[in-house]
Amino acid sequence: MNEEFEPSADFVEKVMARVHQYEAEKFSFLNWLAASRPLRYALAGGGTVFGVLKAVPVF
Amino acid sequence: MTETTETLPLTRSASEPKSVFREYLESILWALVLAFIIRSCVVQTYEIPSGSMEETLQVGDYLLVNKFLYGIKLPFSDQRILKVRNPVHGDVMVFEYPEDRSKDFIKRVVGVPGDEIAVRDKQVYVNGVAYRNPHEVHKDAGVIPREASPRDNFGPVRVPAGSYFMMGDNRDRSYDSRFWGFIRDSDIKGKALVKYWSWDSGSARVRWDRLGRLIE
Repeated sequence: MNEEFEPSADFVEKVMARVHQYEAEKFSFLNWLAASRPLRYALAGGGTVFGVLKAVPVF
Repeated sequence: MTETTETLPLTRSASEPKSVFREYLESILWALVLAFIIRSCVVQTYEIPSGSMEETLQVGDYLLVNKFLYGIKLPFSDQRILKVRNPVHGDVMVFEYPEDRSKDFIKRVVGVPGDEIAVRDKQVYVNGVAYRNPHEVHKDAGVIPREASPRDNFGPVRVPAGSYFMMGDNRDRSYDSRFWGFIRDSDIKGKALVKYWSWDSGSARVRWDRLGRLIE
């Protein structure tokens, strides 16, 4: 390989830093929250619990 | 021998990430399905709006009802599967009110199939023997004659096969089998299990001492 074009030792680190910066700018906190799997599971679990706990009157 | 290569058609692979909308839609559907299965086959919650089961159950009590003990009822059918046992004397059961199927009632089993039930001056007799339940209460000292009402003098009647005679613990203020007859096995919704919440709306406070109490 031509040493003139050999990447520097921190090439990957620099590129990934730019990628992370790009991703951080691209996704807002709300987007991140909406895509969050734990949040989705918590909502589904909470919905299930509320669905089960919906009480029916019994005389 | 020649090697051939095939070009696979472009299809949506299993590892391809789903859209956020689809993931939320699937989560909601799973929540609905799970809630439906749990309510139908495992446990259902009820609230008490009347005092017919006082003091066992008070207005504002919230209960969990066991849906599988007497068998899981198959939808659109009177059949039950996976029955653990039959109802016995003293069980507190939720069932469809025979005169209005849109309403559920909760009472105590006093007569099982084959029993002879009679009430004489408020005292219940099962097969000729006085039936004393420690939870029953009488809030009216007066005795109503048989001709006026079946409340204090009733029967004797024989409980048919596949039927049950139900009475409220608040004997003098309960509209139960003395007035509208037996319930059928297919009317049963489940056995009252435990009080998980109790709200006294009169004094706007939680009755903490009733929470978690088994219904016996």
